[in-house]
Amino acid sequence: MPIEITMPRLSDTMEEGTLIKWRVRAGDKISSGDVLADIETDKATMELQSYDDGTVAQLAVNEGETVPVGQLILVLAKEFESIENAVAAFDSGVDVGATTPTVAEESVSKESASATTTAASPVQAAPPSGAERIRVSPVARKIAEEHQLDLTTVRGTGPDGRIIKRDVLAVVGSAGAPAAPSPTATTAGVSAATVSGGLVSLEGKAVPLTNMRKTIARRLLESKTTIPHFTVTVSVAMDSLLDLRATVNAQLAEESGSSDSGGAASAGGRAMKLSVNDFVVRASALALVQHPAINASWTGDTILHYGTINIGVVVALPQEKGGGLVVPTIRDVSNKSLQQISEETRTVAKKAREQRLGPQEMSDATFTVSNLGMLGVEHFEAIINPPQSAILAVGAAIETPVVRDGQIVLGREMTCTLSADHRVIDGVMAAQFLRTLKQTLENPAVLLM
Amino acid sequence: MFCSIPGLKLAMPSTPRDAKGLLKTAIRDDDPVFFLESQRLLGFKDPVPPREEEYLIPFGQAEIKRHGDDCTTVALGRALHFALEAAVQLAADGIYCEVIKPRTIRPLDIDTVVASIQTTNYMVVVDQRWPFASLAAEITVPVYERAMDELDNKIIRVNNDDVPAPYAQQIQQEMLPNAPKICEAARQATYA
Repeated sequence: MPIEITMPRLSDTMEEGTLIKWRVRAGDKISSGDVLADIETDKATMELQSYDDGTVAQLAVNEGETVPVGQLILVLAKEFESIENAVAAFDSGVDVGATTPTVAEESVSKESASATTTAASPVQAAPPSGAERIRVSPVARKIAEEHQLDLTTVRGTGPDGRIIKRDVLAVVGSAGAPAAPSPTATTAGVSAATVSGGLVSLEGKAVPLTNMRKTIARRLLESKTTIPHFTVTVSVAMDSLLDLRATVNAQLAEESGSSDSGGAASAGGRAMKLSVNDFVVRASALALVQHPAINASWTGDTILHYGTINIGVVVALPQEKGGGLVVPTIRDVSNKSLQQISEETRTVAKKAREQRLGPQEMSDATFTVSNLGMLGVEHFEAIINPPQSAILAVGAAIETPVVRDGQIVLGREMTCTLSADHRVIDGVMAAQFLRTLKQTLENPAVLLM
Repeated sequence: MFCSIPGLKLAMPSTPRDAKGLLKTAIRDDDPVFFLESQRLLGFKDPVPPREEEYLIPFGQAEIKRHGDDCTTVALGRALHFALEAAVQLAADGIYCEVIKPRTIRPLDIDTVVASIQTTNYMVVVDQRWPFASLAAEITVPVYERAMDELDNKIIRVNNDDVPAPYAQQIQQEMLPNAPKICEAARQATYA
């Protein structure tokens, strides 16, 4: 910081002083003790001495001028400070008097040239103006993060352009609206078009990437480009399983209705319904026990057969919350009962939808099951989650004509498609795994054991 | 100045009910307790539960005297009354203050204040002391430490003006953290 030298109080009664004569010029290097000027007080003319070392940056008062005690008369740049900055900082805008300019300018330019060459560049007195730093209040920053809002798009109305809570909420409020109603808006638009023949207009917009979307993009691209995927599909007759499931669920509902038996299933009296996916997860685990080569990982120089069976269950997140998916892990599935699997899946899926899953709960899966059956999908192929080697894609159990014992009958058929890493799993291995899976699902009593 | 001594507890009642409850707790407490009463409050009359009803006010428990969603106002000792006065005036303008009285300084109940800030995001501290190294400062720092992410603006302290206490009564009242000053602080804090 440059030093301000002000009109000193050279006597008790002094109110103002007259600068009779400057003894230094702008650009002069001075040391402590040097005389800076002659100052006339009410009593006498005295010399003003400097207490500091430095370079005279600017003379702020003209010779002959009378100024009150305390007013700035001289700006002194300290060692390594540049004179321009010191002058700019005080900007008294005073002309240094007719006689001195040419001499002063030369010495100023000479001095400032040497000053700037000696001054290290980070020692700029004035901070860079037009700072790229955004001023945000802590809670505004937090809200922006929660909504994955880019702060550079927000206008700040706080002091110094600070972005505050109401600014962020204003943007979130207006941006939040399109996300939820857009599915309904577009469907309404389409139906309106068919009915009234009006134009359907889409809302063209750039949706910023959420962290989840970025992660999904990165991982799945890595998977598809580095793992040689191939797929094998079987169609499973689900009639027995669906009947069994209905029976078991009815029984569980009954048990919880008469809740003084208070079985482990009905904590708080709610019936725990088993889902088709619970059966598939358990069946996959049992099949993996018999085909451990599917529960494996390519490490580059070995194929690692995992010591446990941890199954990742794909959970889709609601569109209103930004969509995306997470894959919580159910650990040690082969040693868990169907009910345990069901409860755990339910708990962890709920947490997943509320985005409360911890990293521990999303790691260490050795196999993944992805189910789009609830949306009526017949068949699809999923992408393997590295470092796993396989993923099972399950469709809906659809009522369809099938051939049984030479007759065409109605049956409920569900496709199971295994996507496998060909470095680890060959076609035959995949087919054998699926055959076991199919047999298990078609003879589901074993799943209850 | 007494608060820094480790092991010394400090209670600061704002109302007669506080005074009785805190005094009983202080007497029953084995630790030394500094019981700070504001002289001007000694004549203040306010309802107190009947004698038969035994009640104690535990240390380290702040009380929310007035609920609100817009600004958290923490007021110590006599300043509570200024804060409540200000809260009424601010409510007329649509700014609803949550007025909290800590009741004890050591131990200090910061949890209540932090919980309030989760809702309001703004804070004003009122303390009838000079600004430098006042109790207000000591309340402000833990809030910054614990709830920085919940704040939308800096915490504004309202203290005595930084001048020696004037002798004349009227001027003395002017230098105190009175209701107009608190109103101004709350408006500033909430960017009103």
